[in-house]
Amino acid sequence: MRISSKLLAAGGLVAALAAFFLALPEPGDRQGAATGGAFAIRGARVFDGEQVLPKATVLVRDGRIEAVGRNLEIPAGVAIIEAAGRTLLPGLIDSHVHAWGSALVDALNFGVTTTLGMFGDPAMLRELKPHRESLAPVAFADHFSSGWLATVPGGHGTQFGLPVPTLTTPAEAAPWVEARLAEGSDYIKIVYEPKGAGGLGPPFPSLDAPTMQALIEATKARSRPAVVHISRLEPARTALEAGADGLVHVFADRPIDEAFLALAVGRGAFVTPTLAVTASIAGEGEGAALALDPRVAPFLSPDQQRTLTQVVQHRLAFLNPAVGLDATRRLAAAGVDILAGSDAPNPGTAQGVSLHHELAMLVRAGLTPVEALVAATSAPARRFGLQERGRIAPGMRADLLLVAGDPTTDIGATLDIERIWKNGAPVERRRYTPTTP
Amino acid sequence: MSTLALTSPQAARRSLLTLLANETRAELTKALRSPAFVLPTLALPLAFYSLFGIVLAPPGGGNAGYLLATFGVFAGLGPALFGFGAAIADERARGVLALKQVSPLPVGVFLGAKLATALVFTGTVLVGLYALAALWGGVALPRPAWLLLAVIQLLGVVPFCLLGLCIGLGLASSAAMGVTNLVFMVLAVLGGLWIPIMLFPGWMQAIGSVLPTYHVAALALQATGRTAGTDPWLHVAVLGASAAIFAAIAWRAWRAMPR
Repeated sequence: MRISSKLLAAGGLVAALAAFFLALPEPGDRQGAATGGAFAIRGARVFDGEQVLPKATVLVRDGRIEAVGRNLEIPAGVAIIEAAGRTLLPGLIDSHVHAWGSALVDALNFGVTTTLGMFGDPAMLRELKPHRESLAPVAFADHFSSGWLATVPGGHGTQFGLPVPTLTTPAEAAPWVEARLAEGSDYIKIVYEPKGAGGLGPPFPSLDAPTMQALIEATKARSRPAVVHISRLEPARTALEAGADGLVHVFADRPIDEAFLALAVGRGAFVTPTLAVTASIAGEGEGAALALDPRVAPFLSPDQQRTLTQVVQHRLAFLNPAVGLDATRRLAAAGVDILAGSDAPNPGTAQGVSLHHELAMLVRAGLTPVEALVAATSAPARRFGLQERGRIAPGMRADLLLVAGDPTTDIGATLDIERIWKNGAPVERRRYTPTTP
Repeated sequence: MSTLALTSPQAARRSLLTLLANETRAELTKALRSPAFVLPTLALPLAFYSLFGIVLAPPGGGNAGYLLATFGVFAGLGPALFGFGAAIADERARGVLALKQVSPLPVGVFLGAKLATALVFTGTVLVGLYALAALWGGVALPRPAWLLLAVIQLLGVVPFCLLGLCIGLGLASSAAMGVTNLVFMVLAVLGGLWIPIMLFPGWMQAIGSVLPTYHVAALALQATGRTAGTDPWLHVAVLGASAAIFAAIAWRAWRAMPR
């Protein structure tokens, strides 16, 4: 009898341990339930992701936008937020970030509700994926990512000491892409920085054109976007000729030419110019100035404060920000999709806040404020296939940004943030004590 | 050998198992009665993980998942090093070991009971860590990954136990406690169990990469889907080799002991 009671206890322990293991969460378990309840934002100027509705009411229920209309009837019992004179925007989408540490909290603190990573830890991406499917309130921005990037041993992207899986030949391209998709990558980013005529170019090796082309083809065969990092005109041309869906920087070495414009239009490519980071690399110091803006300073986390005021150590002499601005203006005028991306947290940029900087840069380049807002909302949603994001319309996720003033005429007003909602839940903005007097 | 002639092999195995169970129960009782052992080994990993992996970690930053892998290794380090190192040195000093040596207790049972005790403590902490990670850290892993992680973090204590044995058999009791503490800190910090090793300067990473804790942590990280960019079998080989070296040193120390 003593033996059997011992066996019973042992069996009970084993069963309890097994039950514990079965109870541990698996990816996708999290069934996101929105915070119940509804509210209406009444009378705001609404930029719906594509156009401006001068005065409209937006009804939000269970994490989604239920209705948008000029004379919308608000059901009884629904809380009303009066927003006359203010502007309601879709939560912003930053199309070029590198997310580490507090990145996604910092992004959301400035109204960026969705981020597109262009090189980051695939394990972090996998952990975050359930959140972006969910409508439950979250304290951080949603994240999509390329995971690792395609580069050669010693090439751009390997300088951070992270275990980037590299490749060198076209034959490795298809398995490389398969491995990334298996890791969870949403799209594929390729670094193409070949030496130019006379061996000029960045001081690191690069993939060759055939390998880039093989990577693009393998990615397209899996119906995913293939995007390419370039910094100069000729490599950008080669990338588009190879079939790239988009460029995640604009070139800033030589003026754009008609042939390139025709190529970009003909291929239906998009460009994420990342003008703010080009300006920073050229040493223009606008990030440090932005850090002192009273609308920015109290909300900067220590990380944001540090990266925004950081100065680039090695300026790339061949980059001329004016060339990038001009190329952006002409690409936009030709009808090429422009996406707003900050490339944070590179020196002189910070998560979230630098997307606002980028919007201002796009307007400086020659886009209208509305075109700039499209570049941070509906355009990236369309180009990256992001469902239910980037627009204020029935059925869309209620990621919203309410600002004072009118950014559809004065782009700087995007920083006059009054309210942020993520998945229909209000976001309490984080305030930090300024670290420097 | 005469006992073997008198009993059937099954009965001999069974009595050995009973012996191991009794010895383990004695070891567990002894450990549980020593708050200086229980508190640090059980509470330290859970408290540190709560702090660095959950409370101070930015939401959505992936820290909870990363640190679950490394703190699970840390969970086994304490029970292994202190249970074998400081404890055996103490038993030697107080003559308990000599008593065990003259008793008919096989040395395998003596060590097996200590290993089982280390595993029970590690397993208890792991249950706590996994619950913290799942409930408040937002960590979700495929079921095979949870299991593989547990297997790696449990088996990972074996090289640490052997290292502890070297300390326990090789050093005087007065020195063993200090050395165990030192080794414990070095293995935890430089092995990257508290802070990811890639955040260290190169020379610290170089030191870290030869420590067994680094290699167990690398396997645990890979089990959770973090590509460490290294061959898992390399880590297994390094751990096997270091376990063999520690075992050889411990064997020499055992043989050199006066009896």
